[in-house]
Amino acid sequence: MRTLDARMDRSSEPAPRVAERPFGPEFRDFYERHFAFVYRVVARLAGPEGDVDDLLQEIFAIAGQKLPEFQGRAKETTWLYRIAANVVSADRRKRRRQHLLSMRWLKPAAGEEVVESPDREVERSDAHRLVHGILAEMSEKKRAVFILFELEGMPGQDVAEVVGCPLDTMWTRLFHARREFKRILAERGIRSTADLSALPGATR
Amino acid sequence: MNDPSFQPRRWRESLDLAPLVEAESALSPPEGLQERIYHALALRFSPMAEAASDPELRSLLLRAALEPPAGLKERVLREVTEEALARLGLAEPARLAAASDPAALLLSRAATLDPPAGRRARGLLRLTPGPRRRRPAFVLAPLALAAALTGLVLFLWPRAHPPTGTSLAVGTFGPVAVLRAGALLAPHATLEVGDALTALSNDPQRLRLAGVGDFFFGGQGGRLALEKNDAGGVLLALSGGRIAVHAVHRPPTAPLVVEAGDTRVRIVGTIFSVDATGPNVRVAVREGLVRVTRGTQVTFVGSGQVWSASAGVSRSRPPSWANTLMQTLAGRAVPRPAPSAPGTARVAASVPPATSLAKAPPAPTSRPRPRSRPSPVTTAPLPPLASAAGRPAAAQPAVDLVALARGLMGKSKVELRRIGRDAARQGDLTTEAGALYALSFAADATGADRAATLAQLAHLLDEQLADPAEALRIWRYLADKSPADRPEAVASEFEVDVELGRQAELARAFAECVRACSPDDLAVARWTRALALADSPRYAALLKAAKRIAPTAQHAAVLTYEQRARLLAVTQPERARRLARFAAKLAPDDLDADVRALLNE
Repeated sequence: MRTLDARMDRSSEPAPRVAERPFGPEFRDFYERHFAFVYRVVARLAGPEGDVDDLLQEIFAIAGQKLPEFQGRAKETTWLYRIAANVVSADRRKRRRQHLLSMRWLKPAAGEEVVESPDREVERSDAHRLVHGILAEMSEKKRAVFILFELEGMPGQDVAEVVGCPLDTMWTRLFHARREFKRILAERGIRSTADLSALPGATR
Repeated sequence: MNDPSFQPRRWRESLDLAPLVEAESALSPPEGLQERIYHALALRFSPMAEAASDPELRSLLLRAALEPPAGLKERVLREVTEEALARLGLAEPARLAAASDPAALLLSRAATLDPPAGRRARGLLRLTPGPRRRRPAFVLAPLALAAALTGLVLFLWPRAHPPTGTSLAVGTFGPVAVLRAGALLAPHATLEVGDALTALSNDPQRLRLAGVGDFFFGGQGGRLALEKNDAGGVLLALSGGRIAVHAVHRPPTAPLVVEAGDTRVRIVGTIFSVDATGPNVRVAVREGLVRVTRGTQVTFVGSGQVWSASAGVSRSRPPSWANTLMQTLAGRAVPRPAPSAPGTARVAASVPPATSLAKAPPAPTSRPRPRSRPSPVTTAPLPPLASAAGRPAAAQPAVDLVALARGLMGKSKVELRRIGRDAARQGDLTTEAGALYALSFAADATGADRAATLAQLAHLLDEQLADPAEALRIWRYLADKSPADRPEAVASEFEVDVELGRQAELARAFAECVRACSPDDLAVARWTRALALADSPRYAALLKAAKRIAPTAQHAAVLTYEQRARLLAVTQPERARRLARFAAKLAPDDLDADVRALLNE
């Protein structure tokens, strides 16, 4: 498992091979290098209701096709994050529309709750579910900055580039995102590590 | 900004929740997800990416997505899939095993390709995201569950049922576990009737059944029971899994029968394989002849043929695994999984002589007949194929077959029919076109079915080989020479003219239609013409006339347009869109989803 500090060191990212055609031989290597990163990003951006499998497939489908157009001006992770953010955002909009169309927008019926597949249930510990729940409550802009800076350990300059805002704006968003994170935690009665003892994922 | 409090670590420490955020930072994908998604991508995109860059492959895939002759779909999808998997590094046995043989999955899908799958294929060909993908997890889950349950049963069974026979040793035949009288059989034993086999992995294992012959058995979770059949012979009851059999000659009174679900394969003495891993049982025969019974339907499958429950008999290549194993059984190759694994039996020395396919009764072909009606004999010679040289390269082999056909003039009617059927069974449209040409030329000697053959050929050329000019030529010939076929020929000619936008030809065909066609054909022709002239003042008058002639023809016209639009959607998109617009004008509120999608492109 790579540590956070290791992930912060982005200078060692290898120079990408230029792909000559969609889904060419370079794709396999590209896919293996970045799958875990994209998975983390999608799991956090999509929230508990997102279909991570579908989203991952969609993101890599786009990336695979557009790989020959990738000129290497940005980092691969930056490029991939943009694709992931767009796909997840489109998926959210689609789900919102479906939700509205299905006329279930007022409130869930009594006893009704979002049921996850057994795979997802197992793979996501309580700690992850807690963090993802908090992220789902944040606005998209704050969530993006928080994920990239706090959880992915991306340098501030890179985060600003990915989300497309000035560096100072990025710091401001981060400040508010952190404050919101603490506030929501407090609302859920978690104020210190001791409160997390019942969360198996927190000690992994 | 250099405020140290903005450093992630500092902030977490200040929060006193570092473990929580650290745990989240270390989030990793669940096991198997990376491989699963990659595999799904390979199946979804790679063949299509390949097809997009290779016109020949693209053309094959297009045909597979439409309405192909039996076997073509499977062949094309298999070739494309194998190529794609190999290119993406998924072809190694271990990966394939992990993915539970995706080629087999795709084959079973291909065999039941339905209109939505055709749509998906078209969508993928344009490299646009198609509708919802198949989820390999859902496919693999039952297999994994079956394998796990089998393992559990094999583990617990000997404890619950103490062995009573003489075979007390616990072991397996390599990747196959054999139960006899409730106990696991020792390796190296010769199998007997009454034994039950379970495949513990996908790797095939070579085994020997006394008095029957050698066979390979594999396909994780598959079960094979060796029983006596009603006729006093041996019954191999296959449930999941695959076998490839080299049976020694058996007396007709004690036949060897392989049963997989409701399919029974009766063996006379041959080398063949049965695949029951997917929803459709598939039988591939390398040598000899087997009789396949499914329900009340009986089919003979001969050497070099493949039979599947959905597609019937075809001459498509057997799956690579079956080919390798059958070659080994025939003593011509060695399969990758070394046969010297524990429990391997020796190969039977005698190889039975191959039975000639010619002795087999003709197998039914699943290709739908075109709408042409049988017609009386037409004995007038066909005009020379002057335009053959100008045809697209894909149709070139047809020309060669025409030359061949000229040499077949003296052959009997039965022989000529067999040649045509064999060519159609090859699963290649071009070959089929060639065979039809051959038949129609050689029909100078026989006469029968000539007009019907020509009509079939014209449909094939127009709808699937994208050669409307040649089709038109044949329609005109038929309209002139075969009075019985004139209405259909003229109507079809008219339709092609309209679609090709030939106004002068259109006028001539319309006049002919008025003279020769049935009221319905004429009405459809008027609809077509009205829509072709939709911008002109004659539009309303023509529609009115069409309604007067045959009020019910509107529905027929819509269906015709929709059907043809779907057929031409990929090979001739412009024509297809024009037809879709016609259908939309006639039935804007009741349009087929395919056609609506075509209009929205």
